[in-house]
Amino acid sequence: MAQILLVEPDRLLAETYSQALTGAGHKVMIAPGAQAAISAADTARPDLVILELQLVEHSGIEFLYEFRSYPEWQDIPVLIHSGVPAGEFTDSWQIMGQELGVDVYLYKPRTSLSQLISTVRDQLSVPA
Amino acid sequence: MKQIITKGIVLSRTDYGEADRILTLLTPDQGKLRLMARGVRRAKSKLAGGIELFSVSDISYMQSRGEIGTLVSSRLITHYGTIVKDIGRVQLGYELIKMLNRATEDQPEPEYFELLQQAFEALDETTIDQDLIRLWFESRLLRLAGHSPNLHTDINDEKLRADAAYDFDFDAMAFSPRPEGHFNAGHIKTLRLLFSHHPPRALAQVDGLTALLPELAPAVRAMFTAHIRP
Amino acid sequence: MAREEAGGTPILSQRLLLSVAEELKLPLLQIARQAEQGQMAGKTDLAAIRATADSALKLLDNYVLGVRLALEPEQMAIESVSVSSVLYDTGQQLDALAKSYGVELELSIAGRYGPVLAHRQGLQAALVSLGAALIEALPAQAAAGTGSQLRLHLATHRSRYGIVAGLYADTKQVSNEALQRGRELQSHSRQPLMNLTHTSGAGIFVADTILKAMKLDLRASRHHRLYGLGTVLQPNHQLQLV
Repeated sequence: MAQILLVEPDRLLAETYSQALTGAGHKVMIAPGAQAAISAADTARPDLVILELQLVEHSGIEFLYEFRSYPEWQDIPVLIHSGVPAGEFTDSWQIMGQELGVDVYLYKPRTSLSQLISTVRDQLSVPA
Repeated sequence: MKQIITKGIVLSRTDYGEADRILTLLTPDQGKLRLMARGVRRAKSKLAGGIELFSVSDISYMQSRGEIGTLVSSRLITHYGTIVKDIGRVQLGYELIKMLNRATEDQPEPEYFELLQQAFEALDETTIDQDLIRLWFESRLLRLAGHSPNLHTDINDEKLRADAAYDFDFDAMAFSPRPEGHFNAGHIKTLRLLFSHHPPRALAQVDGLTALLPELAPAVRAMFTAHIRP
Repeated sequence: MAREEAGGTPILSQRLLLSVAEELKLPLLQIARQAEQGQMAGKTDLAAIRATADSALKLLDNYVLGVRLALEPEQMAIESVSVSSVLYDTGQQLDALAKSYGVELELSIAGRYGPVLAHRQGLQAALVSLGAALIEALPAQAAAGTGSQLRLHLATHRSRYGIVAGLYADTKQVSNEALQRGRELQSHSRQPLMNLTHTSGAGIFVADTILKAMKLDLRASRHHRLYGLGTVLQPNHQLQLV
């Protein structure tokens, strides 16, 4: 069982993803935006972060820069799960992945709940 | 070992060991540097704040005989913090960094530093069209590499005319007169501005310039692919 | 395909269509995942799926209405309309969506305001479109640690310019500058109203389009200590004289 921080601004999607991940045996903290996510991580250190890039006021990338600036959070796997198509990133993806310590990019419309659950399982089983 | 002081723009950061990072920086006078930033990932590191992406910093470093020097100190001068707020702009920022990295050898001229700094300034300003920034950047890279198109005479060495239509000859990097040509005086004027010394902020003020970008983008991209990025 | 009105602002613009298309991904994604979760858990929340589907249909309907009103302004029937009644009906239409998002709707129509001259269907469509966008945005704006109930107020009040009808919440202020900036950024940015919503803001721009077609403005507005968006309507003086 892992502690997952789900950074998802849409309440309905957040509830659905949370139910699915809880059903898979994890504990889920939902944060609608960057500030709430930092507070949540501060309250209970997550084992993994699932991150939407399109947030209100601060982008998911902005959040990730701040998140990674805390040494104690530098090794926490972050999985991007976004409505922004990955294909738009092309060349820049390599820098983004390296810069922000992100190995996986999931495009929400094409990622089923079972795919999300199995990707989470894979990420959690990779040694830090 | 000599300590050198200069300015730097971070091109990439890679984690190394438990607490270190290897940085690639672009400088105006020392070319591209690869430096080890020791202990930078620890909480109290003095170096941490000065080596962000999308920023210009004062740095001092020791150059050893090997490939990688050691970062001694850094101080943030300007951080273009608005860029990371917009997914599209940060993505373009990464792409421009990558484009410049690929287009330059280890000892790029000072103009490349200025180019990247101007690009960050433009990206930081949300009212400047992203497509304009990208096209301007590609044009400037072409110019710095000595591959500017001929924007004054056609392939027959005749002066380009305001009432004529042209197609672009990529081998000759010049316009070829064609009655059904796709490019006209407006396009040529816009290209002259893109390939000039004007920064994006000034170009963004030019009436009608943005409207022509979609028609010019494929041509400039083709020039870029042919000459800078095979 | 863009048709320009005086002043060069596109009405039928590809960027609005793009914005609506992006926005529609959200309810379709919600439905797909809710259905999948229902299959996995053996229990499907059909009421939630229905509310989502209805909301998406409304967005489409309102977009089409905005386009039609812009194309055929001569077909627009201006009538004497009770603002309170429009706000009440708007609340009814938004009720299911608000419940899904945990947002309470509150109607503030105290005070006697005479009828206004407007195209009733257009005015209601604009307010519904705006309301749906704000309902989705409010939980996304919620600051850390605040467990307080989210509320969207449908309100009307008198200003020196006329009668204001709008939607308000106890949230960060939206300025007219930010709104105008959002209009300009619509074709450049995935999130032109980033401080207000995580989406493309299509609901707000559809409302903007409908109101523009009715020769009205969508503006930042304040109601008591709440901030929001609304439009100014002119009283029907003829009826008041009778």
